[in-house]
Amino acid sequence: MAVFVYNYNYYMEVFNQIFIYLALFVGLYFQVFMILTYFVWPKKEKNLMITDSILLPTVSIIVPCFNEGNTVEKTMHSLLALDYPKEKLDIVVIDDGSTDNTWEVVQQFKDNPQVRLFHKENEGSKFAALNFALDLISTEIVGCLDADSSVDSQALRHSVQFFKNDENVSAVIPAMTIDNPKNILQYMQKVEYEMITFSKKVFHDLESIYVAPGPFALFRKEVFDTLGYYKEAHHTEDLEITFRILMSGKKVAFSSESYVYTVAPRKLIPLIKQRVRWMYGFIKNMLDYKFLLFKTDYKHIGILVLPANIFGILSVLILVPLIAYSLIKSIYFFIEKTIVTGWIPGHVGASSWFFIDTRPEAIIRILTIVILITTIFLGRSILKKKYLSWDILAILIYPYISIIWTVKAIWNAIRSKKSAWR
Amino acid sequence: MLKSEWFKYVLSFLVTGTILVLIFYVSDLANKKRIEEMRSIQDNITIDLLSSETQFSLLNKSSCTQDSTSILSSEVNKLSERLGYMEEKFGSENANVISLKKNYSLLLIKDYLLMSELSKKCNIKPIFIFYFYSQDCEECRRQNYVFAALREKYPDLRVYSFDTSLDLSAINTLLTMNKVPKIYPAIVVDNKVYTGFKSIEEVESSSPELTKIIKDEAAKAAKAAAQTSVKLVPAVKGKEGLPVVEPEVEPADSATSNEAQP
Repeated sequence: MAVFVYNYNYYMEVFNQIFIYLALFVGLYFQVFMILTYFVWPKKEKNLMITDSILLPTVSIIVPCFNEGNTVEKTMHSLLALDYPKEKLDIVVIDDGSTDNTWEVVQQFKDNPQVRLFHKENEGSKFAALNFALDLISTEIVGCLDADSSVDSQALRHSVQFFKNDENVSAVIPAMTIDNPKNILQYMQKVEYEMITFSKKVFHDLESIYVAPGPFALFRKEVFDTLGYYKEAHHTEDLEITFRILMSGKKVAFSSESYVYTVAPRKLIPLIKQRVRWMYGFIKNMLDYKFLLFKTDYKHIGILVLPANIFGILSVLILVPLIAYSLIKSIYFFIEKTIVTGWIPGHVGASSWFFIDTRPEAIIRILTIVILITTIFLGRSILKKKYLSWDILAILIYPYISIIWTVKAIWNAIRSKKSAWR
Repeated sequence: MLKSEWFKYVLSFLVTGTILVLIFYVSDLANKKRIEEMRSIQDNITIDLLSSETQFSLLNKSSCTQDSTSILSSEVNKLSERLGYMEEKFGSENANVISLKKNYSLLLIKDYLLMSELSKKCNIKPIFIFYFYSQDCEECRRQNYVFAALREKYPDLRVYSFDTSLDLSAINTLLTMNKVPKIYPAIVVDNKVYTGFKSIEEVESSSPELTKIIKDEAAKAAKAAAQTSVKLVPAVKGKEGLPVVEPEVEPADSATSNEAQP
């Protein structure tokens, strides 16, 4: 009997170790794949900017607003400042039942020939405002700009070339950055967006972008005419429409020189709420579209990108508590030691190679940080920003904050499934 | 469509596999080097012990003035530091750690025996501390910090620490000889047994001999500090009537032989 128990413990230990190293292998595999894609097999593109205005498509940009009186003016000015033939660019403002001064603020643009203003009753979700606007639009290209974001003047010119160069491109996404970060939370998001820029470029090279997020994503209008308008899709209609685009055999392109500046949530609670919304939307839409997984029809999306995302969520769930636990443990031991022995700076232990931690876990930890910094640097290089700045350190708090919204989003998803059955 | 891109998956797999294999290889190599270094320190200690023993047997009483054991204590401290690190990183269940610890404990006991002989024959009172601990005792972790700090503070102080969980018969004999109850941490100073956690100050004041050594060490350190701040001392007037400057140098052994006197 005792022998049986001993063996069981031993096998549990072995299984544990194997599981951990397997997970590490998988995580490292995705990173290696992405870095190899960037350096070894990037997509070679003929970047043909359309110089002849006649060839430029007609574009409408929808600006859905809900209580964004403070920021909508900047948004509007940046749209009107776009370097694009004025007669080919329409701006459709939808005031989605705002209770603040949004409607009054946008009145200043009513006499502009490019601008049309509309007011509608709030129906609880952005997708309704978008669909309302789609009925009023007949240009070739349609896009959306949230009222908390602004665009660079050349953004539209850079984006539309992708539609002309490849007829299979049904959507084009821009390079998003954080506008004027002021506190550590906003810097953290800024660095996060720089890392996301790198992954967008890589997914573009793999022709495997799976989401066209709201701010300044541009679509061919015919997408909505053939595939249908936006659906409710658990408050993440941008993800859902992209899944439909993928299923129709089309793809999304990334325009790395189209810069969009968005305001990042400044306080913790609004940030958590925003990210819970996004992650919850991803989980629910993924469940709705689970048949996409492991299919090779959508380039690398089914077999690499989506599984990598799901794996990422699961590993955050498991890793962060482990990291937090060992961090707290080492702080506890350090305090305990200092209480007993007093403060002894520069302990003699540091004086020999012997004491450098060379266990696999330690080396892998260092490797992870190296990969992280590489991702940030590459993102910055795509955005044409300088590599080194102190705000890189802000990413250190990211695991501890992302665990909060990850857990909440998964919890919400489980609860909603339970309530759906009743 | 995707068939043409299968090479990307294979290449990524190969690169990832190579990276992980390299990591494990480097880690394993470092480990082997560590164990090598510790075994070599242990060999040095064994040789030193043997040489002292032999010298002692050959020269009888006259070997009392020579003190090779102060070198020994720094080697022993080096080893105990490294053992502590190995235990922390690889766990006390690790086979290498256990074997090194057993070896280390036996070397300590040999050193103790040699020192007892020496002190009997040379009529000096030996100053040392026995520290017994075990694996599952909470206070022992804190007590370990105390002795690590003491070793650093007083490099010539002999602290023999024994892990009773090793269940080495020699250690068990020591326990019975010194009438140590199975309550850990247990300290034996000056033939008196103390159990339970003792802070740095409590250990320092636990025996008059120890306190004296500590006073001597402090005085020695103060003297050394005074020496370095006044480097040049005019000693005698030279032939030309100019003062000859002679830096005072303290011979290294006189300090240690001071300790041996009661």
